[in-house]
Amino acid sequence: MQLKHLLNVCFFAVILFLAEPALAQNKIITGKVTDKKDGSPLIGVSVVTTLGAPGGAITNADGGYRISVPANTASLTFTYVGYNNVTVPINGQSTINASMESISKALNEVVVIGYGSQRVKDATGSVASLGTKDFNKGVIATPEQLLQGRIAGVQVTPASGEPGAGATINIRGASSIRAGSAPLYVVDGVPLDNGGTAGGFDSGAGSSSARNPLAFINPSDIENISILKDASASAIYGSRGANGVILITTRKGRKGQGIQFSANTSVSSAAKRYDLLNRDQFLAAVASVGADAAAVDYKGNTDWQKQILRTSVSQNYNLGFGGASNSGGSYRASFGYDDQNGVVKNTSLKRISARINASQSFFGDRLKLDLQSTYSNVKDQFAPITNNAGFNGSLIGSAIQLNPTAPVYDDQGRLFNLNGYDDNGIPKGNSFRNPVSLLNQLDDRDNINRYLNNLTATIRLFQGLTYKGNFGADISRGLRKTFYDPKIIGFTDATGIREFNIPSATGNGRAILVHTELTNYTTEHTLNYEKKWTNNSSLSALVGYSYQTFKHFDRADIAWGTSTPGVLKKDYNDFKNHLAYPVGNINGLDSSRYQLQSYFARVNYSYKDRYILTGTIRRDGSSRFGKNNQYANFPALAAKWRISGESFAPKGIFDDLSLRLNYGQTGNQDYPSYAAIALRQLNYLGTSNPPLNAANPDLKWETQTAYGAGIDFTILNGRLTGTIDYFNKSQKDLLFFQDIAQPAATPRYWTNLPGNVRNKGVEVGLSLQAIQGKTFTWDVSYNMTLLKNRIENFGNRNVITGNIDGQGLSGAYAQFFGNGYPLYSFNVPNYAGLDANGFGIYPQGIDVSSPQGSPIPKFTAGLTNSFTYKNFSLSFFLNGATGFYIYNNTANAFFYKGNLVSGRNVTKEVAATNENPLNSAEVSTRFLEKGDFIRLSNANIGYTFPVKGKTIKSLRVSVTGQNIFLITNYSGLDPEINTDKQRDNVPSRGIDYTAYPKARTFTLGLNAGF
Amino acid sequence: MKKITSRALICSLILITAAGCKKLTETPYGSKTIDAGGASSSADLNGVYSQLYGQADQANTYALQEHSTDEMMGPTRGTDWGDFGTWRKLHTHTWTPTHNQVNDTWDQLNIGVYRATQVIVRATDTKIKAEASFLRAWFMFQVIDLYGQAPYRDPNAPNSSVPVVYTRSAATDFIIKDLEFAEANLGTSANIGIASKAAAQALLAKIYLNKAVYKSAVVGGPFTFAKADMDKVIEYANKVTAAGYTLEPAGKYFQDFAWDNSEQSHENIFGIYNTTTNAPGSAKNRWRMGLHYNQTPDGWNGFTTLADFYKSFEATDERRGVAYPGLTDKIGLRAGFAIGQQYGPGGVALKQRGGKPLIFTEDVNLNYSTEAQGIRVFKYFPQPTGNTVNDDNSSNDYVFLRYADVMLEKAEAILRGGTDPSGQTALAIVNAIRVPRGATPLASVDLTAMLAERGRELYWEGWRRNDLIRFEKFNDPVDQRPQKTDKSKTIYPIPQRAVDTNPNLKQNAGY
Repeated sequence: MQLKHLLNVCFFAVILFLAEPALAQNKIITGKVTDKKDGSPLIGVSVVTTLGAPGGAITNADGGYRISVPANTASLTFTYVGYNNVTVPINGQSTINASMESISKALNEVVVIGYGSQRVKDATGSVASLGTKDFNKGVIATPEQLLQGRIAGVQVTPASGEPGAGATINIRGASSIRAGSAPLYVVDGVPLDNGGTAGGFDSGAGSSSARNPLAFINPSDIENISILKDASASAIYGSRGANGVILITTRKGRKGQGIQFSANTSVSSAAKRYDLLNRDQFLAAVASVGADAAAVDYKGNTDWQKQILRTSVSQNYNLGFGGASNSGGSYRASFGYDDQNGVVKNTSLKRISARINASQSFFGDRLKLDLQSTYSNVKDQFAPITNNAGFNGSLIGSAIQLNPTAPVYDDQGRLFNLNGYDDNGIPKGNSFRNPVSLLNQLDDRDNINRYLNNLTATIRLFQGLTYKGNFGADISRGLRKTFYDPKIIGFTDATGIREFNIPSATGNGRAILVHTELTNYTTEHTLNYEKKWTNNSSLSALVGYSYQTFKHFDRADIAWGTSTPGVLKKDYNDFKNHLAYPVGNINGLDSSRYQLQSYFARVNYSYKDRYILTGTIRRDGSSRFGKNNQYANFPALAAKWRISGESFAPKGIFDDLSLRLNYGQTGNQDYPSYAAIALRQLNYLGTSNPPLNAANPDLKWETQTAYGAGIDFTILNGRLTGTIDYFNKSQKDLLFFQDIAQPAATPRYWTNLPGNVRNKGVEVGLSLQAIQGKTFTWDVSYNMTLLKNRIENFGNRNVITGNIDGQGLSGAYAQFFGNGYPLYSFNVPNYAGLDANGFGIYPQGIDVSSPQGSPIPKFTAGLTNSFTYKNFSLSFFLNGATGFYIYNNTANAFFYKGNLVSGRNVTKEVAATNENPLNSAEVSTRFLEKGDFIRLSNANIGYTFPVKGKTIKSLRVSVTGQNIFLITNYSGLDPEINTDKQRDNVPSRGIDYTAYPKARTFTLGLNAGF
Repeated sequence: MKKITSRALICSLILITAAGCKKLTETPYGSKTIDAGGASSSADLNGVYSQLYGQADQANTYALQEHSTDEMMGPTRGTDWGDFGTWRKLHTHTWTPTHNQVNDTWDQLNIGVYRATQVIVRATDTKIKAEASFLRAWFMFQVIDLYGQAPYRDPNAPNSSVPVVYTRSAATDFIIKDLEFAEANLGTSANIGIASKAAAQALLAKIYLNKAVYKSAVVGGPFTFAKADMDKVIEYANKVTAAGYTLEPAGKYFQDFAWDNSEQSHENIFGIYNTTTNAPGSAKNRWRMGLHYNQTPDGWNGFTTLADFYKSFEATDERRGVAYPGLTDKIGLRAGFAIGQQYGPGGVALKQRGGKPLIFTEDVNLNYSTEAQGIRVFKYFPQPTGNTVNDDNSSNDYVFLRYADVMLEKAEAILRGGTDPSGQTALAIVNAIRVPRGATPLASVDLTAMLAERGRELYWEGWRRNDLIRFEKFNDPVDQRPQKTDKSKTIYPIPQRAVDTNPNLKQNAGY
């Protein structure tokens, strides 16, 4: 109510100010300035009587201008950076329209920045922008796949090849040890919370990695992705800006947009499989290690990888229609359907999405309302592929190690179980898992509905001053249902929840419902002031207030004891025993709520378009911070000097040459809620109330101080544009879940560690129009990043992470954080091959670890070549990385001679070694491999039909290939991998453990416009 | 123009400030609550008890007390049980300040001390305070027994403050004071999971017996046992007897550990109370850690005893192993030591995973063992249902303090110069235990015989290291540790992480 009242007051105030002061002048000339290329209005064009004359006008948002000139004025001159000057004679007319030709497209492209947008030429910070044409093509499950490899300084590493899998995205390197390193995502102005999806409930097969928080966005609704890379650009997002910001803008309605339809069908298969022994080779190998081959011959002949993998077909349809009226309204509605099937059986992602973007102006553009509304429904089906399974393995692990003589079904038609069945037909034992049992006797799906709505009211208070109110609601309701058949093989362990043991899934069956509710409200008020002078100077100022609440509510219902052993009914109510929740003990999982309140301001001043200065400050308060440190300030400064605008600049070489400098501070507050306060948590029975978290009232954000410099240039008449950036950023007050000096309530508490993480590097982005013929064009774009990452001033502290799992590997780990080393450096014993007896040689000792290298690539690059010939187009995209290591935990867990003694399968390579079957599974450099690779990750060939019909306006067919080839020496399936191997919640990087295999995909696509 | 600007600004400021200035707070949901202080509740007290449950695990406190001795080791078996060398390092006394179990045990025990202290400081109820005092003594006793010094934090001090550190000697006095308070204010309890007067007495007897070790200026001895302390051991042991505990009758040794030990045991004084619906400190790890994959129930095929230890038993000694009614007849598993061919339900001779017969052998190699090497021990065992086992919630109570232990402590105290008011001799006590177990009565008892008898009676119950140190035998060579080790190994190092976070902690000598 209060707000509404205030809005009313302001609205009347606006009306009062509407009348501009009338000016008595000789002659009034009006007109519109447009781009010669496409007729779009040009905003901010200077209109003067003669170059350098005082006075003049600036074109408004519609390209219109209104100028009063002395009656004897002969002509008007229009100037605009990046465009050729235009002089038009007046000849007594009162309306003069001008059409201007661009020198360089790139300079006049508009990039989306925090709380606004600006032309590339005015951008002082390092902002990368990617439009539809630059996106990766093919089967795209989540938006970050659109830009993987395409932008310098942005590293996207998928957790696995699973549809909708999470990805690690680092913008200019990772800077945190324990806090999150994911960037902030802002969709049409609404900052998201990086949660919203439930990981699987660990019932004995291990825990699964978090899902991708962006899976709800239909990638084809995205018009543009803008990435704020440096602190001067991201400081406007304060305590969430340190990891960079990814701004996603969805498609808006435009005049004549019409109907667009696209359909894609894809075929995928696993790009690589493990080269395992077949039946005969296995039996020979078992005999060669002294075991009884006859005893482990179960008479079958099964390719277990074949049992779990498939060639899958996926489909994708998108329908969009949009338009704009002459009365200031525009709309676009879209509908998408995605049915992606993974290369592992029983894995899929189905997404239905609907979006409406509408905009309407009122009172002659004084008020504008914008609505962006998305609904999406994502249904995932999961196979039990986990990241920390022990000796019995998850789906992939069990398939790799399973005896190839084992049949899928035994002679009684039951799923084969090495440990047999009891009198009731329930499988015995927990040491064996049959992959087909895991696929057929376990059903795991989630269903997430998400609504992202955003209403913006823009009020032009008077010339140059605009108020914008932004109200966003991001609501997600997820339910993950997991059902276990009581006859599932190998889940004989109980699961404890806060001292309550749920009986084993084998024998009892189990149903688990995990409810995940995410509710995020955003309220923002901003005032924006714009002023331009005719000498091409301009001022843009912004002040704002933002308040966000994030509510995360999780709950698990668990039941067991189904009436139908052997028939998986997938009905929660069919299970007899339910975990009942005593009053006051409702939530099974973590629920939290936090608030963020911020004030921010930005000033951008451009003097004669040559000297541009930007200053930003944000003051953030977060309920997550300790009570002694609840508010933080994040300032930033940036400057740009357009050297090519100077009189001394050489003419005719540089269309543009600019130098940028930036400095700023940003923060990271990506750590759990309630970290600063003392908490207790009741056990399941409500009888015991032990401490859960120890207080730290001084807890605060991580602060990143960054500086950098960049050069932007355009030469060869706009045919070659380039950007070179140097950055150096240092993050301090590192958030960490640190050991408390015991005795204490808990082992660890959240605190800020001394020391800092430094990332420095160079980014290069080049774009070349190699050939611009009438029938043939060739465009090349290239990006590369050199990155150096170090922990500094960390003292003797040694934080370990990177769990290595598998048989005989309990407690093993491979990574550490230490002073002077990159984040996640590997630290394992050196291995020097096998001795004469087939035992491992560890020159420094089997238990002596030494630092080995880092999983963070020192060099990454991407190269795109695009050709068009008449109506044909062809593009291919190569990317690669060097200077990093991958730990092959899969090999460490499974590929040993000793596995043969236990009747488990190994690779042909292992079988051929002289390894002693008693050689133990030690973590060492034996399994640490260089990850260097080059991949043809995306290629696309298309044909556009020359239709000029009334019904069909455009028609295009294309074939896209993804992950077409990979050149690498890495022995695992794929070096672009990051299985979540966190230890004590400290994240890991670059470890490969029975990950979902990466697919090779070919897509046939059709696009039509009506 | 100026007027317009100022009015617009005022208007905007109203907007921004009216919407702004929200108070930032966090409110937990559901089972989580903010700890706002206030009197200790029984739920808070149970939060201290819950810290005991980890001691039924195969790792940490239990492993530190057992793997370093002559009765247990965890051999690496090809691809199995390498576990980053954690078990090997314990058996060979080559642990370091960064050993994972040295770290985790330190945290577990000290958290117990802190939580108990918090309950004591806030308690308004004497019984709650007395139980918490017993628990604090229990945890701090383990801390000084393993690490030789004990940090202490005032629960009202901030978490960033640095705890003071008590020497082993000062901590011993602190523990005795806590136990005396507990003993004075506790009565009998409904089950062994709740601290009782007898539990406090039994622990006091143990502390006094070890007092010479804890007060000694020289780590690892030699120790001088004061008569006054030995008399205290006898005094508290007699109080436990007076409370009504008796030794198990002949042939019933394993009923202290069987699934119905809550009802059947005459000896169990303190431990973790488990039922078929709630087993927070389940004993199932005790059988799983030794059971082969193909046994019923299937286990982890891990720890073994040492051949010499096995050989210290007479064949007639029930404690060495028996067919247990309701167990062996159903799933083939025997109680006690398992050696030779193993059987499953229906008397089927079991095989290894590679097809060879499953025959547990005496010989073990710590680094390179096969699946079947090593004698296994099943002091605890699950209740079969038909010919299968569901051990999700096993009702076996997990035992820490047992009457036979108290009686052997009394006998040892007499041997070490104490006097029993009723004139009972050490030999009489030892034979009173041996005879019902089916062992031949001894003609005489000395310290060597005493240590051996404690081994036979209390094997795999978590006391062996404590006993060996008191008898100055801890550093002697054993199978797979051929050299005598340094006396400094009789205490574990302070974890590096602890030294790093608390400058008052000085690393133990020798590390």
